[in-house]
Amino acid sequence: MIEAINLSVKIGSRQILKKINFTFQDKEKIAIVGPNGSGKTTLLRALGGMLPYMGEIILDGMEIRKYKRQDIAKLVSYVPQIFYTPYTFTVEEFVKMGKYVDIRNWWNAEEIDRYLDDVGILSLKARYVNTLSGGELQKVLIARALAQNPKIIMLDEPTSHLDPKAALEINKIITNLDKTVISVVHDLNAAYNLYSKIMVMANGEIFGIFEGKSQDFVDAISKIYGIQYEIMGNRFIVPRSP
Amino acid sequence: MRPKILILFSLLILLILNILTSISIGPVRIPFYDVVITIFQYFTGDPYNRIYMLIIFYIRMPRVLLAVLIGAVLAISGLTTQTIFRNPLGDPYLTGIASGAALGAAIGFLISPFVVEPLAFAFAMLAVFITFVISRVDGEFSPEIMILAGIAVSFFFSAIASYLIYLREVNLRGVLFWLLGGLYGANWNDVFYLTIASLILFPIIFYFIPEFDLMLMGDEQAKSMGVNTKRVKVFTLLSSSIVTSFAVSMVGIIGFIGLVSPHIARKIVGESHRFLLPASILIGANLLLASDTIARSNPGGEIPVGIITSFIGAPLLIYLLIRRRFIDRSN
Repeated sequence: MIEAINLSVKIGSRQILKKINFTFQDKEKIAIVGPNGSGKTTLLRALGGMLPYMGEIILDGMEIRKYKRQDIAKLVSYVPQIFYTPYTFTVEEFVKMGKYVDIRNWWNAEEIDRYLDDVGILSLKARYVNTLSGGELQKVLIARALAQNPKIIMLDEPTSHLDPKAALEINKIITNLDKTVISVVHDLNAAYNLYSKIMVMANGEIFGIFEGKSQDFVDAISKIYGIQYEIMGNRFIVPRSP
Repeated sequence: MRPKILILFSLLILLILNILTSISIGPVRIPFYDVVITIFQYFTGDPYNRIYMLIIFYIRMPRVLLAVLIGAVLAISGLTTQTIFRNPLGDPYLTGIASGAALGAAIGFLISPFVVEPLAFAFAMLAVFITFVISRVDGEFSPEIMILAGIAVSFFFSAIASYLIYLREVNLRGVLFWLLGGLYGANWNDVFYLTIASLILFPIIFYFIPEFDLMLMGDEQAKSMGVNTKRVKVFTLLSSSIVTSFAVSMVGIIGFIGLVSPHIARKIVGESHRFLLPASILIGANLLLASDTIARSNPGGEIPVGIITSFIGAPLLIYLLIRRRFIDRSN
């Protein structure tokens, strides 16, 4: 369980998150949706304990500031929005790094094949990460996040720079994860169809938290973006130009 | 795994051969075989050639060992900065050490030759300290800000040093020779103190080998994998800065070893620090020792070793610039 109480984040003089509150239960799939600059990525980073904040974030019953860095990493892993590395590590080495939380000499970690298999990249094991395509790299990052064996996986726009096929594969992987998933999503159809809860954010505040596939979510999104959406056969459509 | 250990072992053998060769070269040429025999006999009993023994143990050995140590120090510091800043252009002087030491040395030359070393060390550490203080943002040390802070501090200290040299006509040749770096003043004391410093500070850097690879993924990624990035940065950068300041205060500013050794090592053993770190150290030691041997065996008299290392290092760097994509844009 992860809970935010009056969570605020200020970067420089800008108030990015304004006293937000929510509780997510274990194994919920949460999509965070909202315009650029509404504080979605900042929220993920705060939840991962990666930046200073005011208020409280309670993770498994304890405020995360009281955790050691390594203990947060045992509970939460984070897949970044854009990742590129020029360094020549193999996929195997890269995924083993996720085992650092358990074994300091992570290169001795065993049994990482199942994480590769979970995301369907066992065949890439010996490839260098700097030679992979965007979709492959995203899968490697998810495999590494799984290797941390966390309760919660956070993903920042996991499909936004991928081609449709790769996006479909990634979404399928995410849906099948037996974990709490908190994912920043721009693809409204994915949010609507694949996630159990959708948190809509605007201007650093929570506009509302909705069930997946609910009309309330469609109404909220229409209001936020000022575009009148309708649902037709599980797809978002815009019946007439705004 | 195996081949990489073999490479490290080969580099070590190369270093030993390099040491013996370097000892044999000089105004009095001591045959390679006699070098080995004399060293052996020093520990077992009476040397059959006292002249050789004196030359080896009182003149050449301290200098050769100091070159090995300084090469190792510069390489380990260079690699540490390159890794922590995720910047392939990182060198040991990035945090302002060189200019700090230069200012300390310039002041030292004004006062007395005996205070050149301690002042160079003190001012190098002062520059590092200022750079660290400036780069602290939200309780973390930002690599980007630290690079810029290091440049700013370097320019400031250099400006004062240049002004002193200009104004007071400090022993110009002395300062210049010092700035270019050279091991001509090597003695057993230097070797002793630098060995102690290395024995204390190298293990601290080695301790963080598992974190080093993760740090390459960027601060945020490293944190999300459970790395206490602040601790890694403070311990490794401070350790490397202290030991480099020590080295610089003894032999002046020797360029390119710290920059180039990790790059050569990377080509040979790859990116993993558990091989890269020892390989860089061995290559740094080999490179500086070879450069110093060339520097002191110049027929027209000794050349500052900094000239030789730059002469070898600059073309190597240009080669790497052409071959490799340079700056990591992911952060």
